[in-house]
Formats: sequence, structure tokens, C-alpha cells
Amino acid sequence: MRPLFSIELVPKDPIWKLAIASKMVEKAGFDGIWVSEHFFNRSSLVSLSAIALHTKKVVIGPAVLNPYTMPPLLIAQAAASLWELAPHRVRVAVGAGDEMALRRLGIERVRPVETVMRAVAEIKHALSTKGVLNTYRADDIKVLVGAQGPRMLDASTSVADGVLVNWSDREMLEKTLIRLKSRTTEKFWKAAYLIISVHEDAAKARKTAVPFAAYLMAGASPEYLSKIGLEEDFRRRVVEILDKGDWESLYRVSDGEWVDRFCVWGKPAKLEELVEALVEKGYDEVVFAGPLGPRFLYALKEISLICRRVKKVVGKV
Amino acid sequence: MGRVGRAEALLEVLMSSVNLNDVPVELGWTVAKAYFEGSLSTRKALRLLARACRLCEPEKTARVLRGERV
Repeated sequence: MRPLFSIELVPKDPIWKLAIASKMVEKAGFDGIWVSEHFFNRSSLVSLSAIALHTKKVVIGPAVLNPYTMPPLLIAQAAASLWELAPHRVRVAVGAGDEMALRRLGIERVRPVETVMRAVAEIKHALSTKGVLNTYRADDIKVLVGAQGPRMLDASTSVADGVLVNWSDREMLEKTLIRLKSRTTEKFWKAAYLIISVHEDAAKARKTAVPFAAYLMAGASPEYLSKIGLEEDFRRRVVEILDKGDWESLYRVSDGEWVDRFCVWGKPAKLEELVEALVEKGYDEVVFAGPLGPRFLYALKEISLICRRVKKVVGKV
Repeated sequence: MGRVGRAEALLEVLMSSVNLNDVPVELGWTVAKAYFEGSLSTRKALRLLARACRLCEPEKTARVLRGERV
């Protein structure tokens, strides 16, 4: 069934908007919807219940649920219950989450790789073992891991059904794919989870991209920041600006190329070239996440056209 | 701009807004219901859609209602 093309919806918006958006996503011909999970937003699982009831074909799931805030057995139970609203259409992704957000909740992110892998194993066991959740028939739910670093990626290959690769940097996406291909079989699902912002006016696309890129940069590993030439002082400054919600200052410090490492922004043609390359190289799925663009309907239409053209090109190869 | 074009333009304003918490939940679901039923361009639904848009994006809504591009 590859490649799949999915859209991420963010429950920072009210559930009624997500319900409308999900119907639009399905009508535009996309294959899947991931709903992001962030404790300070609305619940992804409750949002997905509404989405399940307003869609018929798209595969749906939360990305990513966090075992530090939700016990794995509850994740399994919620996934199985969601399956009843959307039979054979549910996937689940688990990840270690945003360290800064966890700290705000008073939770220390101890041993993230081990914690996530244990959670994946428990969820898969609960979903597949007779006598655990067998009031449901949800035995086809795939469990994926939201991953970025090499340890999380490597560990996922032996426990999970696939990974959502959280990079928007082309070089890192390609390196990750090579790493995954050397450790997995064809069956292991590899999804590129891209933060994007498209618009006919590239400057407007960039303006919309900046806050998303800044949040991602704030949570990036010191190794990656050093690789792209950003100092720890700069990160601290951006974190302070984000904490104050001072968008004018944020735009003033965001004129560098670092924004390009965390978000694919610009005219649709730029995105098309990247998507085609990722699919040709072997990604099974491309997830379009983040703001999508300053104009939602315009972005959705342009992305769906890109996906159709890429499917045609890949189908011919 | 006819009612269908106006409904489409207002829907873009609504779906692109970052101020949707300013729209009462009940009004949001009423607009959603009209969208699901395919009746957003009826006179009644269009009035509700415009009301929701005015609450979250007053300037853009005024421009759409004047027939301008946003």
C-alpha cells in the first residue's frame, strides 16, 4: 500500500474544527490522519473519537502518546476502544515526548529509550494476547515509535511495527533511512514526519513556519544544534522569547538558515521535489505536519496535488 | 461573489484562523454540521459562518464580505 500520504492535525484547535478538517483531508484523497498529542492541548484521543465518526476511509491515530503521562495499558485500551469507532483504521504512535513540557508538569524524562520500548511491548502484548483486551477485536492495530535519535531508532526496529521519523532536515531524513534499511526488513514501516508550510508567497510561508521551527529548535539535541552551527546561548535566548510569547522578537532572531532545518517552507514545488525524493528512496509514508501553511484550504489542495503527482511518478517506476 | 464563493472564502478564513478559541463551541459545531450536510452556502448557514468568522478574524471577514481577496 506504499506510499501513504497523511496529514497531522493539531488539537490546539477546537474539536469541531478538527472534525471539519478531517472530512476535508479525506475528501482531498489523503490516506491517513495523525493527531498530535501535547498535554497542554486538547486530548488527541478524544479528538480522534470525533474524527473517527466523521471519516470513513482514512487511517487514524495519535502521534505520539507519551508513556510518562499515560500508562501503556491505558493507551492499549484507548486504542482498542477507538478501533470500535473506526474498525481496521487505527494506528498508535508512542514517543518520549517533549522534555521541556514534561518538566513543566514536574515529570523527569528518565531513560526515555527504555521507557518507550517497554511501553510499546506492553501495548502490543495487551492488544494481541487473548484474555487481556479481547472484549474488542482490535488485533490489527500497528504500534509505531516517534523517533529522532539513533538509540531510539535502533531500539524501535526490534520492538515496534515502524517509526515516525521526526526530521524535516533532508540530510537527516536520508541518513536515518539508510540506518533503518540496514537494520530492518521491508515490513518495518518508515514514515517521514515533515513540518511544512506552503504558500504561493514564500515569505508568508516562512513567517508561518518560524514559531514551529523555534519550538523544535528549542527541544533539539545539543549534538544536532552544534552540527548546524547554533550556539547554546542562542537556544536559551529563543526559549526565553517563546516563554514570553514575544513573536516580534522571535521574527527578529529568525532570519538565519536554521529555520530551514526544522521546517520545509516555501512554494509547493519545493515540497514536491522533497516528497518525490523521499518516496523514491524508500519511505513508506510521508506525514505533512505543523502549520501546513498560512491558508489551510490552499495548503491542503496543493499538498494533495503533490501527492497525486508523486503517486503517479512512483507508480511508473 | 455568489453565495458559494463567499462560503468558500469564509471557510478559508475560519479554517486558517489561530483564534478559534474565540468562537463559542456551540456555534463551531453548528457550522461543522452545516459543512457535513453540504449546506454552508444556504442563507442561514452563511450567516452563522460569517458570525463565527467575525469573532475570530474580524478584519479578514469584513474584507471577504466586501468581495475583496484575503
